[in-house]
Amino acid sequence: MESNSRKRMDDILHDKLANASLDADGISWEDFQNKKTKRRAVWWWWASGAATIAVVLVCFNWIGNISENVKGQETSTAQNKSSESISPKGILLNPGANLRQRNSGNNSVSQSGNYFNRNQHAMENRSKHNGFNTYRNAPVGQIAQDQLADNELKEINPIYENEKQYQSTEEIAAEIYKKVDAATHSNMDSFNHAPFVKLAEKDVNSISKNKDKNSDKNGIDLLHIKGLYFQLQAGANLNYPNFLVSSYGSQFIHKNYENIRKNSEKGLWGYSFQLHAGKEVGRFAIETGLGFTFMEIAANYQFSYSEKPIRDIDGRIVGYNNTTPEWIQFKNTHKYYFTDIPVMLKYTVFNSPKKILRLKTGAVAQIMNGIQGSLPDAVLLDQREKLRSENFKSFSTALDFGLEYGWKKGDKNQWILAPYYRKNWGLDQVQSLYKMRFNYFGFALSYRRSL
Amino acid sequence: MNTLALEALIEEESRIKPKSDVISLEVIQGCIRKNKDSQKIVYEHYYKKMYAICYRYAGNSDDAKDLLQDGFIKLFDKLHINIEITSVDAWIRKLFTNHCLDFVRSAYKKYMVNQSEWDENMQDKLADTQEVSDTWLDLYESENILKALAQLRPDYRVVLNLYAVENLSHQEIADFLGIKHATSRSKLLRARASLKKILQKNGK
Repeated sequence: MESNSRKRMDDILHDKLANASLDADGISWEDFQNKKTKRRAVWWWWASGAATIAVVLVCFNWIGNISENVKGQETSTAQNKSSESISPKGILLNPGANLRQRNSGNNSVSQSGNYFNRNQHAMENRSKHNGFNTYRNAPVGQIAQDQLADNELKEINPIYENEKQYQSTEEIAAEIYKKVDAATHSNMDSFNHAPFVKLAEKDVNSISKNKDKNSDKNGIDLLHIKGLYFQLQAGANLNYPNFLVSSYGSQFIHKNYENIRKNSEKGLWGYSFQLHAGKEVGRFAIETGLGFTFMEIAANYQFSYSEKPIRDIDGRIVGYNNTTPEWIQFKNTHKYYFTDIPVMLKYTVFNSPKKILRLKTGAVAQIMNGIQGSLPDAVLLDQREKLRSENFKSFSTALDFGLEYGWKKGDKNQWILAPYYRKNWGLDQVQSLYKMRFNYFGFALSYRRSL
Repeated sequence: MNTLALEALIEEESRIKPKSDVISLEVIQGCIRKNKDSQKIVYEHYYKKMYAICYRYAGNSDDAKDLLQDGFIKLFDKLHINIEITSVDAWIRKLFTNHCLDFVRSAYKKYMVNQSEWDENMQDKLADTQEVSDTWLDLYESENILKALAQLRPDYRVVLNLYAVENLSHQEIADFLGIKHATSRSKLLRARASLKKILQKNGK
């Protein structure tokens, strides 16, 4: 009998529910379209973040390239000065009068293969031209003018057109040895008397190969971009949420809502992962990157609900009706997911061969990717509202302050412990009725590699 | 499914059902071509029914709206010429039911862990009610039953839905949710009793 009753109940449930219809606010075609657009917008934030990083990296590469060109020219200049008398291995190269056939009376240069005399001459010409004694003293703009001076030299003596462009000390050294080696095996008498140590063929080749290995396809020597580094960071954070109702929002939100939220929610440990790229200039470094931060809040709502709001046609609360007190109690964990795009400034306070201490500060763009949890409705406290990303503005900003204490492992690697404090300006409700601030302490362990 | 088969299928549906209940061939073809106007017609034709399915499983309007949103995105993505459909209506219903079951399966563990979220006092508030005849449920509107179902404890709601509405056996429910056969039976018994109490408390 009881079994039949249950069967009958199940049948009725099936009949009534299988083809049931239900209407609700916010599910019209227009709402469907709007939500689709919002979801796309989150992906746009991701894409724009990634694009920002790409642009920054390209800029760093470009700055590095300029500094490398300047450095290359400085090296070349210094090398040219010294190469007149000293070989790369410190062996005195004094080939004698036959090797140095410089005509000091005019601009012509010998054709005997001692290309460094040409550079010496070019230097002298540049010094006269620009008024600077060395390239080290010359501003970048002046270097461009010097290129013009080079072109003038080429016009004077077409031999320069056939000369190679040398980019590093090693390459110059290899070339010197090749030329000297060739001269030794020729019938040039002067080399027979020179205090010359013959370099084996394989050493010459290995110098050339190393040069090739260290350069990328575009000829930019990435391993020598000064001050560029990458930092990979993982850390934990403990947040202190602060819920605030705006003065505008207080017209629409239950008067007890702010207190309920403030008293019921406390921060839990979260975590973050970051990949940063930076450029050091003296004691300072500027850094940016992309990161992911996860935060949790434990909510334990316990309150008595006895005042029901009376609202006007615009939804403004104009008064409260007393009702039978109802005890509302439930627990929930709120989860927040952010993409971070930081721009940090760092200052090196202390730098020893083994350890390093830096101060850092900067701004962080925090883009909300997701949000989970449920909480009391802001107006009718006895009802529940789900935390939805559509109800919040996805963009918020924060300020970071922190320290970095690093242990150096070789010239290029560092392990860093970094405590920091982040002050968030608040995740705004979409109509700015209220905001949620996430201030938090965190510490991170980072691995940093300089290029 | 080719165009001829689709045409035949829609003709068949229009013979069985009233004309207002059937989506035209042009509209379905428009959806296959991702035409916005056709998608709007399909959405407006089905959204209330599909929302009821989502609400029945989710138990709250926020999750139900998310399920509805994702369900229609899935529908418009999956509707293409090569799909095997025996009935457009049944196909859409099945797509949404499976979508909701995926949600239930992923959320079921959370339901079990977060039972503190459920107001346990609710069970005490619903004092034993007098027995009524077996047709008592007929007196309630579908909307009221759906709302009462939403007030059920989440794990009870899932089992009642799967057993009574989707016609799954206890063994299938046990396999689907990863629980014991006996647990499924006991949850169903409690679900029926709770639903009855909630409906009587809420009134018709």
